[in-house]
Amino acid sequence: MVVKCPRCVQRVHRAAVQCPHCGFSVHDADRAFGAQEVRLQCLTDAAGVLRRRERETARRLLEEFQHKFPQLFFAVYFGTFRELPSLRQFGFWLLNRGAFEDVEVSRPNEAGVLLSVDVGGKSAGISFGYALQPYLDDDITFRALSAAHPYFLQEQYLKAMEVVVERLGKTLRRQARRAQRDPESFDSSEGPGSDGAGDTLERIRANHRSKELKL
Amino acid sequence: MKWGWVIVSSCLIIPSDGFGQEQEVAEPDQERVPASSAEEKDGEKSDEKDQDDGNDGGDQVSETEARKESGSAPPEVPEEALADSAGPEVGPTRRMVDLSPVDFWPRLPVWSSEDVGKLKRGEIVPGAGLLLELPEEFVLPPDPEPEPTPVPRTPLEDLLPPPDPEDLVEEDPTVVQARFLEPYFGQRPANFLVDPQEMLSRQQYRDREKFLEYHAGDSEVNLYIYLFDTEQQLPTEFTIEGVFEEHFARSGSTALVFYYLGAPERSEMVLSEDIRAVVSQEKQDRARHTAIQEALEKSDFCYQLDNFSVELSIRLYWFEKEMGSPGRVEPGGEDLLARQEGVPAAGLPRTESKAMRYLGNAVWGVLLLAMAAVLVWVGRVVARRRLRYVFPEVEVEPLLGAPHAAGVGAVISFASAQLPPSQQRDQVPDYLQRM
Repeated sequence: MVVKCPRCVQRVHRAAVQCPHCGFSVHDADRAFGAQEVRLQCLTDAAGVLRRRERETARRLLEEFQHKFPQLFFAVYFGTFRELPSLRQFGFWLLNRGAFEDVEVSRPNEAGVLLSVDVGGKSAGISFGYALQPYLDDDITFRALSAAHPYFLQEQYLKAMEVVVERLGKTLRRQARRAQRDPESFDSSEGPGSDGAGDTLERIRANHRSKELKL
Repeated sequence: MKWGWVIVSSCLIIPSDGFGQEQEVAEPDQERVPASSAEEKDGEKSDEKDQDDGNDGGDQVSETEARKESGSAPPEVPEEALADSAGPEVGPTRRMVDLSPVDFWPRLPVWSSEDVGKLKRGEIVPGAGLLLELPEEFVLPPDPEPEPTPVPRTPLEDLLPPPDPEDLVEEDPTVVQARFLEPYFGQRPANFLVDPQEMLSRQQYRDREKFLEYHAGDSEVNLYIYLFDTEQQLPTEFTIEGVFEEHFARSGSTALVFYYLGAPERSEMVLSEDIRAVVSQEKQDRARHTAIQEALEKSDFCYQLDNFSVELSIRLYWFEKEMGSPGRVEPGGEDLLARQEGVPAAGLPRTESKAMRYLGNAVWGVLLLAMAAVLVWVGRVVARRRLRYVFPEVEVEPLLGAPHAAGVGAVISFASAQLPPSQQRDQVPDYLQRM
């Protein structure tokens, strides 16, 4: 399990408060995108690339993912960023500051997978929470994005999204079976983490009810 | 072989007449040149021989020159002689192997102007001599008549039995010969098909008999068919009812038919008492009529018999069904009988029904298998859809001060359609890009 810094893409050791290479932390992301939590849904088409029917299809797809993985959720964000410092940093920030309204409270952001697509900058990235850190990595997410690459090129964003969800879902199914067979193969000594997740999420969502931030 | 070689050798060595003439003209100068010239030539020749030994060509040249010098013209040779002496310049050795037809064969006759005139007038017909009768001296005496040799008597005639006087008498086609009455009606037949007159060939008989045996093995009602010729009339003392009473009355369910080959409409049928007790006379008549109709569908008398027996077998099958359930008609049996009135019989009924039953079972089996496969597939799909994947609890320490997520996956660009995804993978630190 290798964690990379969202800014310098260097490896970060366990429990590092900031990147030992570039000093990046969540506060840097807050400064770039805002320190307030944002309310959004699993499918956010801020760029307006999906038709209504396509949005419905995409929502059904995300619901199926949640149905299949009762602990997880999948979120997709289509946006157009004029001066985006980094799509990787944006994904990192959104998964930490986002409050997904259509996701049950039992599925914290630690168990979320976020596909963020910069339609204007023609790039796409994947971020995931702490709960999925043992099961996903840079290569796995790259393979999923590579499979969807032709559809991104043709601007078939729904199809690209379907491919990414399907690929990651397939990988996660396999990893879940492996984890059920041999839980110790996935290092669980990463320290505490999920204890306060529920509290954090509740705090985030409570905060979202009073404030709204539009991206 | 030896003689052939001698003949060829003689042709090559011994000259024919022509060759003899050539020998005579082989040295024409010696004979036809005058003596004085010859002497001069001899003298000159001897001189020249002294000068040039063995030069034959030189001799001839010298001879010509000598003639020119002596002023003696060469003697006139008649054309016939010249013609006979064709090729006098050729040496004898060369002539020995020259077998050209001109030299070897006698010359062809030559048409004289007189003959040509006769030919034009039609007095001569070419080749007419070949058509003339031979003179008596060339006619061979007639062969003496051969003395008659005693021919041994063919034993076959002795072996054959003397012809039956009844055979010599022309048979009446409407009468069953008396000698067949005993095989017909003398005892209960051993086979289902009775044909003592052998109107069917052995193979035809065997095929029909086999079918009737099959029917008997498959049905409770035995079917006996007596074959008669088209116009034959039975003696009055032999009726089908009498025959049935005599031979079949105590042999269980039986159908007896007198069938007339080529005239199926003359057929007669009698059923045993147990059948008649259940099946009405109308149905019996209908069965016979239907069988006759089926037979008349064919023109060949053998095929007529086939159709007749097959259709009757079907009818007897339904009679048997009717007998099996007294007071109750087989469901669909009446309808089937009525429906088959105008329908030609198709094959063997029992075989068909069994085949249909097997086919139906097979179809049902395949359908059940297909349904089972579909059910299994649907079950698997449903099970997979209902399957949930749960991850074990994993405790991860927060990183970079992030409360929920620090997992950073890949970032890929899709700006270029020419570059592969691996070359558009974003792994460059942000501070080297736009920050």
